Amino acid sequence: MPILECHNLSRSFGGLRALSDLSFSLEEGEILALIGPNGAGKTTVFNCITGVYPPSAGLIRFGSQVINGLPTHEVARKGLARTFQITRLFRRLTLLENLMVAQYPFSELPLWQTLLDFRKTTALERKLAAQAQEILEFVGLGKRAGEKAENLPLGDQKRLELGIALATRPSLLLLDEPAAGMNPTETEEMVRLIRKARESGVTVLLIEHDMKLVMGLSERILVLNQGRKIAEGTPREISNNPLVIEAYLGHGGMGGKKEGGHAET
Amino acid sequence: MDLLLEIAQQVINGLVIGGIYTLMALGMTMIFGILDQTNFAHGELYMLGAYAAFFFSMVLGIPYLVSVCLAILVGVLLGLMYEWLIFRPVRGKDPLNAVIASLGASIFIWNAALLVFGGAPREIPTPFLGEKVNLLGVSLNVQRLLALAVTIGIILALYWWIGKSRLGRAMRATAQNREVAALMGIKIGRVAELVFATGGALAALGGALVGPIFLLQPSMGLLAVGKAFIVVIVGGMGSVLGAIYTGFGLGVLESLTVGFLSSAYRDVISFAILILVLWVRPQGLFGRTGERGG
Repeated sequence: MPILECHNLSRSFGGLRALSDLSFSLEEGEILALIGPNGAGKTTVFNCITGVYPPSAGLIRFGSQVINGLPTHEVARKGLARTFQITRLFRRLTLLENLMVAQYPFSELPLWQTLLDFRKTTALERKLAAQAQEILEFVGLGKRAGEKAENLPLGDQKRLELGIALATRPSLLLLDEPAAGMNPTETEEMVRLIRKARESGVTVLLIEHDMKLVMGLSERILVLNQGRKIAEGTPREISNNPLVIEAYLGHGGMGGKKEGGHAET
Repeated sequence: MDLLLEIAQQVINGLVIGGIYTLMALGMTMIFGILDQTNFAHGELYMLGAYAAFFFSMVLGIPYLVSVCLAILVGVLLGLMYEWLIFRPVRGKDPLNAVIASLGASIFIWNAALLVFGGAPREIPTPFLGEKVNLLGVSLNVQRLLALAVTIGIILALYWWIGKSRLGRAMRATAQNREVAALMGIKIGRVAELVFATGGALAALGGALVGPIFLLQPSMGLLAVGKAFIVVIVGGMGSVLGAIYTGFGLGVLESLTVGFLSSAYRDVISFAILILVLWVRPQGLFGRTGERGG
């Protein structure tokens, strides 16, 4: 059974149709990339799935449940995590605190215990801090746990954001341009982290403009243009698809010349 | 030496008043910083806290200290009512809506109190009121010392709670980025209940503590909320640390003004500082420019 299914998803803003009749599904453990020119509706797909706004029409199924129309915090609690194109962190919290906020739903105690049972709450805090530290090590930021997030360079902030997303213990991870603004070394590190996350059992849906990353990382690619799906397939199929080349890559940017598609954009 | 004693006396008095300003301002600055809403009806929480203490101790005859604890519980309930009835319906809309709604609530509650309690000032006599202790030559009223000690204790506890606890973390996270906080499974409505319950408890505690020092009047909240607003703005809107420093600082400054100049200048000083800060450092002493919240 697919972990995520979108059926005939549409979304309009006033007269603008940002998404039209988009259907796709994601198998468990898969890495699917969503690509397309600017304004193709990629981020709109993410926003509909995470409940930022409901789709105008269509159905989103996550696991066995229909989730369209659910508020963000409920979608999140069902195991869906997200990162943003422009990194969104709690800038004035420390790295460790950032991750501990992400563990919020797993650290619930009854109210009377929160207020009165000091020993239990401190024990829980310790456990959470230890788990948070583990995730920080995972994304390679273990040594900077006590620093404020705003002091990190961009590449590290993106890795922290991934760590935060993972700390919510997601089964599905939505990544919006995880490598935006990164240099090649940082991008490679990010690819390695995403792979590692997948190996731990997380399904990944990502938006990315860095074609090298997309071709190297994803198993399947879905191409959007003006809110419609124009192609879907393996990286090789996509890089040879004339429709895609015309709509998106334009002017022989990849495809034919570089078989298997490792072109830069 | 006499001058020193006089100064010490005024500083202590100022810290007591400043503590009350701080208790009020903390709630207001949290509501603003975390929820982006302005509570003009915060003074009524303080007023009702004082009357609750009066009711429990004078009408029901419950010992004063127990009455204070009960008044805090009343404050929590009132804070929750504020959230449910006044602020939740206008959340996410134009911030002006919350301003108008809370102004309306303030006028309503104040007048309702006038109707129910009457306009005559009331007192809460406590066993500590007549007691004095002598500390290095400074004569101190025990009720004032008690108020100061409790205030400082509560403020330290609050500061620790916001800084170190899970719920405090959730509140700070919500203040900094509500959207991402929701992605962490944090429900904004829950955080708002928590913030208003806390604000209500602090304000009611303030009222219950100074009730015995001053007189109780339905209009007492109006005066207090004005001062608390100065503290919130001067300290930096949304800044907890700013509210603490500014609250105590303003109390001491006012008290010294009253002691050495004239009580006529007390409010002049506060508003002069407000104007000066708005002029020189509009984000407040501990505020941040640009990026909003927290």
